[in-house]
Parts: sequence; structure tokens; C-alpha cells
Amino acid sequence: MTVIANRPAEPPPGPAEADQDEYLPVHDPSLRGRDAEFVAFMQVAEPVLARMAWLLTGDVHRAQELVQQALVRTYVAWPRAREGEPLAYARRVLSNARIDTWRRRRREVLVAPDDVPDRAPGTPDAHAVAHADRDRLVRALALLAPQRRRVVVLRYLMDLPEQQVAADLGISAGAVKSAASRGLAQLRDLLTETSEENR
Amino acid sequence: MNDDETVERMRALASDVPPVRIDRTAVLTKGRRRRAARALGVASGVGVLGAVAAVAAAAAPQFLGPPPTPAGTTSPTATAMATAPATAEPSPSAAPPSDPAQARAVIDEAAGTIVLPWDEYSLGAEEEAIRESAGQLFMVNCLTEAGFGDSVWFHELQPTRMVHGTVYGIWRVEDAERDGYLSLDAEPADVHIEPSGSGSLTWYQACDDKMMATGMAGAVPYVPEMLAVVAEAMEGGTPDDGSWPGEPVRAILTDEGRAIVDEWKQCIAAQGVTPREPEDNGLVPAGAMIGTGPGDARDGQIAMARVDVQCKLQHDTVRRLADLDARLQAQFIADHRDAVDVQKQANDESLRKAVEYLEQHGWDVPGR
Repeated sequence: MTVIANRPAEPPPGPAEADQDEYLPVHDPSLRGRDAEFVAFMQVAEPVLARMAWLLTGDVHRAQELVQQALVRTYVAWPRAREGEPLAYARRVLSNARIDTWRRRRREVLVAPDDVPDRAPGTPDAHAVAHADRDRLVRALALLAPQRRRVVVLRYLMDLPEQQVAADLGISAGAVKSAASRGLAQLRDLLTETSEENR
Repeated sequence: MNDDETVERMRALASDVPPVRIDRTAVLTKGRRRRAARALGVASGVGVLGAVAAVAAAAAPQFLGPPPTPAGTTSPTATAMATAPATAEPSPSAAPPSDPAQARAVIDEAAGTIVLPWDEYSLGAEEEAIRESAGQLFMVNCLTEAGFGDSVWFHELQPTRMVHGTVYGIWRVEDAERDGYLSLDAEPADVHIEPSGSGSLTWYQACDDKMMATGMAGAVPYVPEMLAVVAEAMEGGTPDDGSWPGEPVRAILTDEGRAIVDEWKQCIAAQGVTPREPEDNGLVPAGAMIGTGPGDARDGQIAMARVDVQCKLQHDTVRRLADLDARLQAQFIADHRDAVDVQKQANDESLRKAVEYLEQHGWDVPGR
């Protein structure tokens, strides 16, 4: 179980000075068009980005942070992003985020209380099995080097073409092909190992 | 398992992804803040290049000089980039001239600096680095008190990052020859403010709100006088071209500025260098490795930078754009003198608080 010592029970209340209106004229009617448009975009983009972030990090909290950061950056660049493919823009931001802290958090992820299904010990059910399966996958993904993991996730789990992966990561198509091939071979070994261990 | 079977197996394992909940209100709030910060000069303003920015600003003469170079005038040598001698008495303050149409950029080629009228009223790269450091230190302290000290740290102050440099890009032959585009930015400091663990996101947001409330980091709150300027300008709608009513319009967003940029783009394209799409509208080719890059990429970067700079020299791009920026900024200052004066006071106060916070926590702020 993740326990962090000396943490107060609740976050501090937000200070009165932090009222958003103090920073921006947020109620200006002319801002609503952009915001409304972006909220609609978020509704479409969130499932895709969330899935991708979770596969890259294996950590729900970290995935939340990454998706939020990617959406904020997309919002700031919205006039430019919406001219092209806004989802591709957000995905590129997410693709290049730092994901190399996963291993340090791995122990926490595997036992985080939020992810523990509500059931009696020793009675595996379909939910628990699904948990174990996805845990097996993110364990294996986490053992890949960050760039190789990005390539594998984008290419095989997000099902993007090689050229698109290359564009997202700013690398050559050849580098994608090579990383994908090696990553896949590594994952095959890892998933085979864990399957045998679980027999 | 063969490759296809491995992929199929992976996809089956990935079918049950846990819910990742996103706070859309927080996204909009943070997005607006960051947009405002950019508008106030964090990332979109034009300003000082080079580590000697503060020194150059302190010695900046008034922005008076010979008449602006006519559009299309070419300058075959780097020497032509140097500033013509100022005709006015040098002044320790960078006050704009009484006639905005006569404003000129002060370009010091030897020092690698470009000083514009708005620099006097906005937070430059050095000041932003100080404020960013103070904000990050506050976050680390706040998150540590909340019990996340094992996953956050603050080991050094942020360096002055040449984000403003990306507006004009590199423009000196010596910079291009020495290190391509590396001089345009610096490696960020060893600071980590993304806590991990259960509840970390909630605590991060709580600390972020507290930090913003201090007024020493993040977007500087608009003073009412500047809010009035923004509100008046936005009566006709929010500009969607990247400009922001709380600051002077940037030269590269005007027709005259675009024409200057297009000349440069055509010049580098003719030599096989692809212009970057308007990512922050900077005059930097696609593929330029700003502030980072492995050593083995340097040769290619230098070749690209050489073409880039030669085209800027050939078309006098930076001088013409910087002078246009100077005129636009001087006009904005003249039009909104009261508001910019009060906003400057707010900026200065924010910086003062940032320096004080850092010093109270044992950090020496260089030059302060």
C-alpha cells in the first residue's frame, strides 16, 4: 500500500486570493467560443490520450498529469492546433513528455489502493484477472527503454502507421522500424516469461 | 509467439485500461493562465538576446536613430547588422522616443543583444527565470510539507533561457558557426515538481493555487488599468492570430512583418533549408535543435544555421523586423501610457517578491 508519512488528511483549502478572475477576464463573452470549442475537443480526445498516457506510464496519477499537461499546451496553441489535426497535436505533446520515472513508481503502482478491487482475499474473479492482465502488460512495457516504449505504444497499441509515429517522435521511419522490431521481440520474451511464471 | 500473435496478445492485455479522469475546468484555467503569461512576455515577447541582457538594458540609449531601413534593402555583411550610432544622448532608462514612428531597435552585434522599447515595461528572460525559480521552490516546499518530499526536488536556480531569441532566431555569423542553434536556449535546471502517489494531483493543484496567490510567479495579474485596455480591445472579439491585446502586436503578425519573414523563408528554401511552420512564429528553420542536441548533429546544424543567418543578412531581416517591433511597441506605450506604467509596477513588485522568497530560503540571486 502506498503510504506517505506525515501527510495531512486533506489538501489545504484554496486561498481566497487564488480566485481565477483576478488573473484573467475569464467571463468575457468573447472567450467562450474558444473555450466551448476546446471543451468539445476534450470530450473526443480524452479517451485516446488517457489510454496512451496510461500505457506509457503505467500509473493512473501520472497519466492524469500528462494528459492534463498535453491538453493545457494544446489549449494555448489552439489557433494553430485547430488548423491542422488538434488530436495529433495533443498526441505529439504527450508522446514527447517525460515517462522515464515509471520504474521508480512501479512499486506504488502495483499496490495503489485505488486500483485494488473490492473483493474478499483469495477469490479471483473476472475483474481481478483483468487487473492482473493489464498489470502484466505495463510491467513488461516499463522494462523497455522510454523511446522504445513510446514507439511500441504508438505503433502497436495506438495503431498508428510508421510514418505517423516517426513524425510524432521526430525520428526517422527507419528508427521507428528498428525500435518497433526490437521492442516487440523484447515484449514477446517478457510476456512469455510472465505467462510461464503464472502457470 | 510470432510478431502478429505478440501484437494480438498485447492488445488483448491493453483492453482493460483504468479510468483516467481529467479535470476540464483545471485545463481551461491553466490554459488561460499560460496564455496570459505568454501574452505578458513569458514566451511570446521580443526582447533581449544573450546572457548580458541586463547589462545591455541598463546601458540602452533611447530608441532614436536613423530612419528605418526601407523594405527590401539588403545588407551584404554582418557589419551592417550593427546599430548605427544613436543620435540621442544615452539614457540609463530605455524610454521610447516622443514620436513612436521614430523608434528603432538598439542592436548591439558585439554583445549579441537586441533591446526594444517594451523591454523596459515587461519581464525579460532573466527576470522570468528568477520568478520561475521562486515559483518552483515554493511548489517544492509546499509539496514537501504535504508529504511528497520523496518525489520533488529543487537543486538549482533556473538559468536565463533565451526563449525570446526564438522570435528572431540566430542572427550572428559567429553564433551560427560556433554552435548552430544551441545558444538560443539553455538546459533547464535540475528541478522536479511533479509529485507521485495517491492524491498527488489534488495536492499539486492546491499548492499551485497557493503559489499563484503569492503573486511572485506564474502570470502577473493584470492591473485594472491594463484589464481595461484588454477589455476594450476585445470588444471586437478575441484575436486568434496569437496576438494579445495586453501587449504590443508583434511585427511578425503584421502584413509588413510577414512580408519580411517571407523573403527570409524564400531565401533559405532556395538553398534547401525548410522554414519551420509558425511554431511560436520564430525565425528558425524546421529541424533546428534549439538549446539541445547531440554533438554528432552539430555539423548539420551549423550548415543549416549558416544558410539561415546569411539569408537574414542578405535581406536585413532582423534589423527591419526589430525596427518594426520597436515602432509598434513605442506606439502601444504611447497609446496606453498610464496602464503600462501601472502594469510595470505590478511586474516589478512580483519580481521583488520572487527575489525576496528565494533569498529568505537561502538562495543567492545573481545580480540582485
